[in-house]
Amino acid sequence: MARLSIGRYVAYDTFIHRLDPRNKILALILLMVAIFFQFSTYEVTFIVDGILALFIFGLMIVSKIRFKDFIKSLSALWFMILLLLIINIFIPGPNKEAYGVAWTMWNYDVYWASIFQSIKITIRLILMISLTLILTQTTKPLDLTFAFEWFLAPLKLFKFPTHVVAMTLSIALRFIPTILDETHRIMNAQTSRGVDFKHGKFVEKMHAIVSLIVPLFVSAFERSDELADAMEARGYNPKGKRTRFRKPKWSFKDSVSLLYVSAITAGVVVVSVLNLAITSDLFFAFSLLVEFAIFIIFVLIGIFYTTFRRKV
Amino acid sequence: MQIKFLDVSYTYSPKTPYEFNALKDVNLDIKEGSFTGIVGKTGCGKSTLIQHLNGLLIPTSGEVNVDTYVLTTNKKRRTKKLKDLRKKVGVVFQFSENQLFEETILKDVMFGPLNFGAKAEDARKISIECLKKVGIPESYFEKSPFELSGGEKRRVAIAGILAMSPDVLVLDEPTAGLDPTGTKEIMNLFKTINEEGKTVIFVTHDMSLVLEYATNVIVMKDKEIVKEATPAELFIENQEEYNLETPQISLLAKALIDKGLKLDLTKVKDISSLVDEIVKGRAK
Ligand SMILES: Nc1ncnc2c1ncn2[C@@H]1O[C@H](COP(=O)(O)OP(=O)(O)OP(=O)(O)O)[C@@H](O)[C@H]1O
Ligand SMILES: [Mg+2]
Repeated sequence: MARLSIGRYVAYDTFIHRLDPRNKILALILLMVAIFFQFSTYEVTFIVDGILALFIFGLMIVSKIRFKDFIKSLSALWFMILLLLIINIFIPGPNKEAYGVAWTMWNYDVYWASIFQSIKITIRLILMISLTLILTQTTKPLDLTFAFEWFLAPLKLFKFPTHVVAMTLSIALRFIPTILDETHRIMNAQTSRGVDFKHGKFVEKMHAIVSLIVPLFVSAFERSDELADAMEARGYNPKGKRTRFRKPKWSFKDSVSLLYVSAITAGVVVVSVLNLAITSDLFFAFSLLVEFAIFIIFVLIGIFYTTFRRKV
Repeated sequence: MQIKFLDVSYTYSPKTPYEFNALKDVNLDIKEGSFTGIVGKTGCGKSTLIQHLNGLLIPTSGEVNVDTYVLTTNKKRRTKKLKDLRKKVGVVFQFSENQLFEETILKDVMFGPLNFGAKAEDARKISIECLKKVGIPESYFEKSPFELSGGEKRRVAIAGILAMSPDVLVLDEPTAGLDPTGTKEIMNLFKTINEEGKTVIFVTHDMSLVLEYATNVIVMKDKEIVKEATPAELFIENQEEYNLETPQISLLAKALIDKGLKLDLTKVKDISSLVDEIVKGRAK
């Protein structure tokens, strides 16, 4: 079970854990916008990305995400990074010469711009994955669906079955750990029958995976049948009005932290706009200064608020 | 194959909020050729213990020795290749009915032997033999395993492990969900296998099976081993403190002794041995 715990809720009680799930989803979207903003020069890009990275890693430390989990969640990325690098090097683009030639390979010029581009996308992917990791490790699946249903509420006007969709989603989320446990059990059983899931040639690996996937699917289908029967036996009506046992409450610290995140995004936007308008060094420094000032101010507010709250 | 546990502790998901200590300082010695029952309340760590026998779990501290294999976190001492161990120690899991996946029952049973390098022809032969042993009729061999009932699936899963011809057979609640005749048949099969010289280790909640079949019994309580004895010794004493039920046969024998009959409790294992004892007692 320990091996398969990436992306699963981890029950610590940190500041991030206690935030309202709606707030966390909004903040996630805001920060994603900030991460994917474009700038005209790579210098600005890397400075802004660096600031965002510091902030996001700070969040990871605060929410007690283990470094091991973080590395594991990136493991699927290595291949993508390599692919990106190759594509960026061999695909011609506008303004590639701007930063000069890094080196020449068999008469082919590899431009710094291609390498910078790959690094930029890699950094942004890592930041994005970190954000989703923070969200899933600090928020209970049920709270996530609550937030999801809450955001979908306006669609009710158009007779969109928000409750059914949210119920489906929360059942799916609810069963992720169960299915992970099941995976673990079946892997154990097949390992006992001589299957090696880690080593082996391609064909052997394929066979190993079939011996895991087939029983997993069969039991998942059986489980969903049983669940449907059980729900029906207890009179579940998808159209009925439901109440909630646990309702997340939007508190003052949610407002503050959301404001804080908005300020960061706003800062990034301002920097980007200014940077795109005039690429003069003076302006550059100024816009970064503004960004930094906003950043500091909100860090101070955040610190003040948390300490103040603890005393009350 | 000698099996030894030396101060074994095991913790699930260490250093996380889900950390759970499931075994504490277990010392154990299972003799070659024994028929050992493991009993104890739900959640006391029986399945955890069993998964150490073929290296699916490695003790967080302490050491497990199986034959020449060493399972420990100590990098210098531990055995690296565990595949051979898994061929020698066959484990049938608690929910073994959901490990089936091939198109036909026969193919599924052949899966184990083929993985351990048997030739297709040999694997086929031994699989047919094992399926017959567990009482699956020949007309079923080409059926899909998903068409079977729970109890039949369990039998096929057991055949799947038997076909690997392990030296040690480990069974986690092998009779759960079988009907009384099925239980008897399958336990008698294990007895035959044991009589061929192989070590059989089984987990059960059914004390009358322990009394009837086991030569040794290990009682677990709350992560620890609290008693190692022969079944007769265990059930003669008051085993209430371990939350175990006394088998009906032992209760009957004890009641008869209270009424003045002379019986040797260590010899009472099932109905026929009880009858023998009663006859002997009256002849005296
Ligand atoms: N993968 C796991 N992760 C964390 N805890 C676990 C895991 N597997 C088992 N446990 C815990 O370890 C304890 C012992 O479990 P185990 O399966 O060994 O019990 P058992 O004696 O076999 O019980 P039963 O008679 O119900 O099969 C239980 O409290 C269980 O909750
Ligand atoms: Mg168990």
